[in-house]
Amino acid sequence: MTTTLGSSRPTPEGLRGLVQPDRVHGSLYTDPAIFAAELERIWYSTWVYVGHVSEIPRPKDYVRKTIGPQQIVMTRDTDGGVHLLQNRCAHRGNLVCEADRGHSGSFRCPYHGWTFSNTGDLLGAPFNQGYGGREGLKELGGLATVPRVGIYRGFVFGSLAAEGPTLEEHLGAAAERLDRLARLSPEGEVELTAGFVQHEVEANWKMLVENETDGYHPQFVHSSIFSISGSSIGDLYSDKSTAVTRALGGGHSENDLAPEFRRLGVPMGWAGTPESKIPDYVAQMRDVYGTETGDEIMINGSPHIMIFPNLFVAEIQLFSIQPLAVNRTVQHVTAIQFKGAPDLNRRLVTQCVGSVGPAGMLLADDAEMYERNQRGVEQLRPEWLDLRRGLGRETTDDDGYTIGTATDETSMRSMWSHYLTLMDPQPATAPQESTVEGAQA
Amino acid sequence: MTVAKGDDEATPGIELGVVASEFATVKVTLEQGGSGARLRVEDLRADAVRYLDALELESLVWAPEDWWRRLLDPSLHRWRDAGRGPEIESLPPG
Amino acid sequence: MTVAAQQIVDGTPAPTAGNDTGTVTPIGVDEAAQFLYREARLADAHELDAWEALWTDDALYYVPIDDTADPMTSMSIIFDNRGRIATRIKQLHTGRRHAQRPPSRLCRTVGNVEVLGVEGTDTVVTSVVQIVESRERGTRFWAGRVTHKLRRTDDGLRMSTKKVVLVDSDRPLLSLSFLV
Ligand code: FES
Ligand SMILES: [Fe+2]
Repeated sequence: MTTTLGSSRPTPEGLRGLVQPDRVHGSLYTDPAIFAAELERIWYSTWVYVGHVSEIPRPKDYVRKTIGPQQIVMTRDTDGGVHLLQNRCAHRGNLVCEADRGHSGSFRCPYHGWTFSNTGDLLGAPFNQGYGGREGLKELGGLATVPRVGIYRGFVFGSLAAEGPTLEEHLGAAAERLDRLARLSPEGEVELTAGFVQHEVEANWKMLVENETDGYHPQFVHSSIFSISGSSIGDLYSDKSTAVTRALGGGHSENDLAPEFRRLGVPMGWAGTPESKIPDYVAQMRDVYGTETGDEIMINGSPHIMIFPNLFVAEIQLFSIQPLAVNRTVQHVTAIQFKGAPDLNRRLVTQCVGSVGPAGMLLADDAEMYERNQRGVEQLRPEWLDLRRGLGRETTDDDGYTIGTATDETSMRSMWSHYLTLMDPQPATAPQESTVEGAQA
Repeated sequence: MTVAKGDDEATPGIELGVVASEFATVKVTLEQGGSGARLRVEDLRADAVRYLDALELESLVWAPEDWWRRLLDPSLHRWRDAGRGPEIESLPPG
Repeated sequence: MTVAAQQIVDGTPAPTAGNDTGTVTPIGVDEAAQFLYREARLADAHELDAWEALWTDDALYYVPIDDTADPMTSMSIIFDNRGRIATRIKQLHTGRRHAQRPPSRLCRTVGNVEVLGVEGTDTVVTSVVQIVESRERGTRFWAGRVTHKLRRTDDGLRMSTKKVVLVDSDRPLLSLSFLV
């Protein structure tokens, strides 16, 4: 079997050799040719999380976003519709928008002044007689648009492929987790209004995706902060925990901590915030949903879900993963804000700022592991990364999903299984699909 | 083409603020004087001023979307090939 | 926004002649600079406890992303009150703060020190910092505009506020796990 690919494009057969049910090959994290293939077959084809509608609340608002290395402008048209444009002038390819965000219904390229609407149409070019007058402009193009835009619960996804599964098909069971997140707002809506920290790591993007629902690492990587802050998060990821790791299909996975949160049985216990600190929020939740349902929502808490390939919701914070090179990735992080919950939101911002970002008391240590891991897998031997943890004790839950214990690598195995279906759409051997990934939604 | 300057620079007004984006920077002042009110709109990047009266402003409110799109065409007035095209390109009816 | 946060955000001190009680000796630029150099040296040398002791109880350690944003509703890189500074120091002391194992090798220059004015009991000092950080992953260069608020106490000068506005604060940043 071929275990090294050199610099040539990975063939489907080569990839199948590299992604096995219980191990993956180190070159998947280090080979630029594989990274190039991933951009094409994953980042530029499947649904990728881009932004949230609350970032462009008014018509003519726009914000710069990304799909991997691609620069995207997310805009709101006069009728309220959301558009994703490629930030590349139709004339000579200049970046059209420079500001991170702004309010403008049209964009004028700074190079030669071509002007586009916020839906991408060319409105005009200076001195248009050079193009045969206004009529001639019809021959010229506008800004390229991301062919498919899908919105679920305000979360905007884009697909650079014109065809493919619908967003609903892509999200599958993940959609219900976004519902659960939104229900934590008394108005049923999430808002991303706190701005983003951009935390860069010198590591392959899959290191991050795999880590997000890896329940095996917190006790080690975060023990410094758990031990001094008296946090009980560490206990959620132990052999005694009743939490489970669940493969949701489509490469998505979650650490379902709700069983532990229910054991706590305290509204907002999952957020470490006593009711007395956020009386307005708790009262409003009970008022809107009724005491029983309101308490249930507040006890069950927020999801901890990795939506493949780049949206990670970790209870109170949201990460968007952006690969830039085979060993370079940026995480864009913000505190989740719940519409109609100002007292809770302030706490979430300060809590989140302490944990995430370049100086975060949690995330700087995760980042250190990504980078060490990247340097490690660049070493020649033993070539493989092990994925066996919990393989022998997986079960199927009532909904047909494969689950492992809180510290099992169930999520990684399902991610890789899905990865293979995207990278190699016609697998020669199908069996590992069903055993690893479990049921689809 | 030149943009009409104001006749009366000294009229006192309430500076409403600067409306700016990465594409334009414009100062807006509400002026009360003479025999009525007007809006003073100044392009701070190019030192040009336009005064707008109530009826002109009302017309802007009612101008159809297509008209606004045409207005944003750089060739329409500010950056046109002098003498190489029609003096004023005809606007579509609506 | 709280008053303290507002002051941090706009960075503009109250006029010198104002609420100054006149009972404290003003802090001159030389004395301020000596404090800043010492603070820099302690941070470079990972003298964690000595560095922590420089803070007043109402401390604010702030590294904004957007210097004009409200830190109560917007993300920051660091927004620590006194309690969180203590947590940060304790975490470094555990020896398991992986991002600082081994500790970064640091060498920073503090320059362009100016006293901007007096705000209540505090003297507002601005400076520029340039930091070279060496770790196994490589050597990095950090730079920013710093605002200190210094207070004369029975134990000598202390800082009640340190705000560092990095030149690249709103761009992707590698981990910044040392005391900036
Ligand atoms: S490249 Fe944009 S107008 Fe020329
Ligand atoms: Fe972690």
